[in-house]
Amino acid sequence: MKIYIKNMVCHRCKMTIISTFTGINLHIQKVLLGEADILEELNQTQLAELDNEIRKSGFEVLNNKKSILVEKIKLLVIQVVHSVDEHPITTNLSTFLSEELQLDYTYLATLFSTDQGITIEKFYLKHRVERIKELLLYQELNITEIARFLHYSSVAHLSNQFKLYTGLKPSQFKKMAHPHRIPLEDI
Amino acid sequence: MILHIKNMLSSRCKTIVQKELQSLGFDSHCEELGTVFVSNTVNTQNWNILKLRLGSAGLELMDDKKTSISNQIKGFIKEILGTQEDYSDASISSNLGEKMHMEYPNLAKAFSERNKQTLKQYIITERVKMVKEMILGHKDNLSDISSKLHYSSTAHLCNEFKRVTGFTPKIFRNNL
Repeated sequence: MKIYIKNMVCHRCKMTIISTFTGINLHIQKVLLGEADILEELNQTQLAELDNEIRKSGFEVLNNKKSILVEKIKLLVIQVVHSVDEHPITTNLSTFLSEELQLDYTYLATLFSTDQGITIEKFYLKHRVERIKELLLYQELNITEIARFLHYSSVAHLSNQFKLYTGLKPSQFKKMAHPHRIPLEDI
Repeated sequence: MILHIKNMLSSRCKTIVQKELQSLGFDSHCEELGTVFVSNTVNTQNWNILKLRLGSAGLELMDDKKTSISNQIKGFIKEILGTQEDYSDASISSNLGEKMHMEYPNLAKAFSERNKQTLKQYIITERVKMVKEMILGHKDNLSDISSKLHYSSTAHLCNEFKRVTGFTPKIFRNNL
């Protein structure tokens, strides 16, 4: 049985899910970001119990189609922004999303905005800013290199966008004593 | 002690890092993604275990950049002084800058932040140590020594030697 899970963003989330599921005697066949395949068939009460259990680590069981789709959109955006290699898509985000999900972008966009209260585009930008923060703090790349790595047209474009969302210039952020990063599932 | 960890993205990452540290017997506190405060210093053995365990979870324990720079500098200085070829035209600092591909002021800054001495003081003490050894070896005269160890002149060597040890090289040699 496939179980859809909210708030999974990285490999560590998969590990947490695996250990939680094993802890309550469920056998996982396969786990991907956003979903886990288990051997057992669960009824409504068991699902509710599972939901309670994984909420302790900040996850949720999803059971309606729309929220599953919204979660899929989020994961695709995260995958695009936070991939370790260079930016993987060559087309624009909207074409990428509608191709991946085989659905019209207008439908996806409306669904996402009504459900989340934020547009896909803004969600994408917030993640990009978060990625910039992360790269700045590693101190491995300078701002010019970060801009090139994340496919910004110029450093000025990057700085402006960064300032719009954080209120700080990238250099100011770097100098802060306790720079704040938002966990991806909370964006 | 602050640990810097790469690839932390979610709050689950914090939990996993704290669990790993706890299993090694460390109290830790993680407020922001990427930085963890540990109550004690982590020794090399535990550091390596932690690095391996976090690695298997896809996280990367980052070496402190400045510490690794200052270790590299120490290695290069030993190498530069050890080869004892005739480099009389180039100073140690410019040699060092070329080898590390960084500007000397940046190197010096990183070095003094991680050591009790400044880079210049370190170079001088290491160099005078070498002078002593070479005098004791009785193979080279002072002008050979000065050119092999990047001094601009014998006078430069004598001055530096006297400032550090209190003797001139000649008195040092005669008092053996």
